[in-house]
Amino acid sequence: MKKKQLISAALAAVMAVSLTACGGSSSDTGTSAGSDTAEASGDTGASEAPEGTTTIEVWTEDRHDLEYVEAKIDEYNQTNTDGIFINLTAITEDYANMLALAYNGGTAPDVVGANSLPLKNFADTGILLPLNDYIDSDETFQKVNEPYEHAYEGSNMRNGNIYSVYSGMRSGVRVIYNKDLLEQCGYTEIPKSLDEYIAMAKDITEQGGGQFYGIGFTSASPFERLLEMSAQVSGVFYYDYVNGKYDFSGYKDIVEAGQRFFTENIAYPDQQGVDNMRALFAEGQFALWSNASQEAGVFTSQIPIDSFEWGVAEVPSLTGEIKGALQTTPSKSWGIVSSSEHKEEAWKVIQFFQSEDFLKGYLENGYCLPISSYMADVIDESKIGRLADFAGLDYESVYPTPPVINLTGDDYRTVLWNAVMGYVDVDDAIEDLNTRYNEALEADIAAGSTTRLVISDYDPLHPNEGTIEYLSE
Amino acid sequence: MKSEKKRFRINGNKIAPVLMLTPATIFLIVCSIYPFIWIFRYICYDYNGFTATFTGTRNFTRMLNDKTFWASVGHTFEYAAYKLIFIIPLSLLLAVLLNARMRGSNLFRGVYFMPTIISTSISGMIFGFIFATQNGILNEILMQIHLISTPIPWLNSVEWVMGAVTILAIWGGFGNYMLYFTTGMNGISEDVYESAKIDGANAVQTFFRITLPMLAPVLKVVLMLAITGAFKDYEAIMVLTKGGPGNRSMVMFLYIYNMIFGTPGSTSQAQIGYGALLSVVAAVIVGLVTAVYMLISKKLDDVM
Amino acid sequence: MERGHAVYSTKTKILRAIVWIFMVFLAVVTIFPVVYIVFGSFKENAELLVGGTNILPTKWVFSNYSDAWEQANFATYTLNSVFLALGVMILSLINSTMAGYVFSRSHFKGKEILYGLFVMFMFINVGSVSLRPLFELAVKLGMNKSLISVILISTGTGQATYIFLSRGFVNSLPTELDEAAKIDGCSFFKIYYMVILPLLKPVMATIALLSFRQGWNEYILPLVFTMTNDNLRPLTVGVNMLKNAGDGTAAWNIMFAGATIAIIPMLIIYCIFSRHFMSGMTSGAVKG
Repeated sequence: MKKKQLISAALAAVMAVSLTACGGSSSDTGTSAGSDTAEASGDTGASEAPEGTTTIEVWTEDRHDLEYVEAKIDEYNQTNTDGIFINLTAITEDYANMLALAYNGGTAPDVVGANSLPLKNFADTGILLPLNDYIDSDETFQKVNEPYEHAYEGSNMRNGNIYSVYSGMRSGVRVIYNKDLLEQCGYTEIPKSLDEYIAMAKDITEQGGGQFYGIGFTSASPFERLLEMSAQVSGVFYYDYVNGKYDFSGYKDIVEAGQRFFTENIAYPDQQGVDNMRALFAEGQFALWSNASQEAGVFTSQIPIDSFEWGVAEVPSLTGEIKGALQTTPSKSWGIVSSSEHKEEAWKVIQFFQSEDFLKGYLENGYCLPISSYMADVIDESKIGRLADFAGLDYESVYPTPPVINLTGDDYRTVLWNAVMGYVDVDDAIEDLNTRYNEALEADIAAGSTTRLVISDYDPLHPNEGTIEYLSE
Repeated sequence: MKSEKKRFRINGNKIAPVLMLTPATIFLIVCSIYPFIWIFRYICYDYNGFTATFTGTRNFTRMLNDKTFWASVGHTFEYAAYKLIFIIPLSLLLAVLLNARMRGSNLFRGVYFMPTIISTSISGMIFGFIFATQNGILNEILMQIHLISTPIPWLNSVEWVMGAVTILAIWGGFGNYMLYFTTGMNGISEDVYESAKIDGANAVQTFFRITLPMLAPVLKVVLMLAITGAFKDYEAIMVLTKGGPGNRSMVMFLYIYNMIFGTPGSTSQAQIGYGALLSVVAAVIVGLVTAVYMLISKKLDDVM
Repeated sequence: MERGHAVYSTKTKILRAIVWIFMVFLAVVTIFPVVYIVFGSFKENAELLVGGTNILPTKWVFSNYSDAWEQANFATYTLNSVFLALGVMILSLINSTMAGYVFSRSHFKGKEILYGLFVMFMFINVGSVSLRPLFELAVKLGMNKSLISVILISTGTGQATYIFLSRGFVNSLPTELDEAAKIDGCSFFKIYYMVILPLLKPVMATIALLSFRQGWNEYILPLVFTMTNDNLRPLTVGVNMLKNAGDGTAAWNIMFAGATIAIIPMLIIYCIFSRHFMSGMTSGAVKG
């Protein structure tokens, strides 16, 4: 009994972080913000929708271009004659999940930035609306955006239905280099083969003597920022389109080459977030960096480089020859959500976003590269700044999306990077990936949750030009 | 009139407890039990948030062979052990020292509590900067005072990352436990200390003979909260290391979070069904640990 | 108020000095990351990202704060955070003291089982999984567009610990008080309201502090519930939304400014509570 009392006393004492009197004193202020629940205008800072207009809710996951987009929307809201009020909300976290939740919850917007939405989830389930009819009835739209030339199976098109039309393009990965550092070390250009590239990086690191380094890697998806792309242009890809299965065996040479960056202490001795590494590159801490065309804007405006000249070059391949296409990422596409009650108006908003006027200003601001040849001709190249250095290469292409599967454990980028870092053995890593990816593929096909993609006339240099078949076995 | 009132009161005294317990019970059902049952709906399904496909026992066999998951369970135990070994003695020591009423102890108490009011997502971000290998301030300081000669790759090596994660956990949590202990000691009567002083006990003796035994029940409660808390931590780790490098700092609930919401930047998608199954397994693991702890502490009680 | 009245010996003095130095050292280590955030919030983005050993900015950029405040809608976020945290605090206080009182003082069939359930679910944690069903439920109830549901869910998921604390505290109060009140003709509820509640102040202060902090730091929950409406976002979500998911670099300096803004109200709350905490201690308000 005594012990019990002691326990309860002590227990009470724990709880009694002995604050007095203050407990509920602030309760009277509790409801001050209670009326916040009303729908209100989103991020744009624009005024409320005027009476008698139709509000079209638009979601985007892009924040870097908001300044331009919001200004254009304000202008549109005041001048358009269709009685449309665009309300833009930027969702920069967990975008696809948020949209799915909102759709299930009946609060989905009318128009959505659609370039990162997996079609398997958003088209097959009927969340996004096929746009073919709208596109076909609008010749100006077709002229400006060339929707049928830039439709990619699995990316924005499925079984001939187009769910969104791209108006921008992110280039494939490029090597971005510090010209001054290279010159100082006796180099003028970036070698074509990976071995020479590594040798150059090593030489620069040695000459730097701890003051600067040859190359830097980030901790955020490092594999796809150089080595995976080197593999692509060497003709190595993780999905065997001809046989319709995953195959990672081609990555061995690339991984072994990549290991040298670390075993021979070539790389900058830290891997931080992308933004940190960009800032370090801009400080001249290392000579070689690699990433896609967004770096044009980063290094001219967000983290401007003033202290040295920087150049842009193609990623090296294993042998120096180009044997496969370099992956590009189409961007800036808009879709209509099927639950929208204002589909006609939603299409009008898309027409506005993808009009020549809107796009000209957008592209000339250097937010991304044009995808259509029409817009490429319309824009003033001199205005896009360093983005011009990232202009398309003849061996760049979009790869058809391999089947989406339920994978156990880490994805290939993580595992292969772990092999590069020496956390796992290369052969083990490849065998592990081959097993796990294909087991998941077979199981998902058997369960009916995915289909096998086969392109029997697949050409690694033109991955998007083969005949696509979906097999359910 | 009078009799009516009385009858009401009798009923009222029976109804009142029920009414007063209603909000808590509704909260329990809605926020804890309902989601738990909901999970069971999907543990045999492949569910990506859009379509659910029945897959029978596939999730179970998957779980048994999922090396990453079981490694993450191991890391969770490792992390919890590191965290508890440091945080409990440290916060106990501080509570005792602060109890001695020296100059500035109020200020100290405030400063020590400060990290606990900063959200884990923000503190994870800050420590990312502090732990940077090459230009991080921690390495710089350690090198300046000649504790180390080469920078420590805190977040980039499988050897050090657990250390980094543990440091963040201790920094973010010791103020909490210190507060618990302080209040616990506050419950110990002054008279006991007085008599100890008369007996001529020194500070160390007083601590081991009086403070610690008197604090034992509090210590038990705090330990239980600390253990379950340590097993549930994942947000700070998510921001600081994302479970890397090479999954070395991947803990159970972070792995599950990735399954439920999908790993950002990964080629795989959300796997709610599988994540649900792992959640149940994780809940069982935490439950078992708690049970074992309670058993041990009860045994110790009997001995004492 | 001093515990030791005796004149300290030299040995004790040295010992106290060592202890004091240790405490100062620890305080510096503890406060350092906070200082780092605050000074970082005045840096240019590039300087902040490079990191390095300069704690003070080379160039003070005060516009980070105005940018955060205006561009990122921080005024609204702050108000929402306060609303959310206060809501969770008040609900937690009412709910947990009532439940704690009933569990301690009332006797009815199935009480032990119900209490067991509460404790069990304190330790069974399904974590992030519970968000999906709760969101779907909120949708069905038409409550998915408001902070009220965030407050309710946050209160509900955190309640077990607070009930646990309240019950323990009520247990420690002598039952003679209730008996006397009962003889005076007080009803069950009136005893709670008139007798027990005033005595619960210390534990209520604890719960208030902890639950306010919980509401203030909620992140994933309001993220999901406020996605359609920027004007409902609390600071935690607002700060993270400054991340750049698309192309380009995030404005980390503005995020730091936002983080600093997010810390300050919490610090004020702590200072208020901490004062009461001290006075409670020195007056020896809590005796087992």
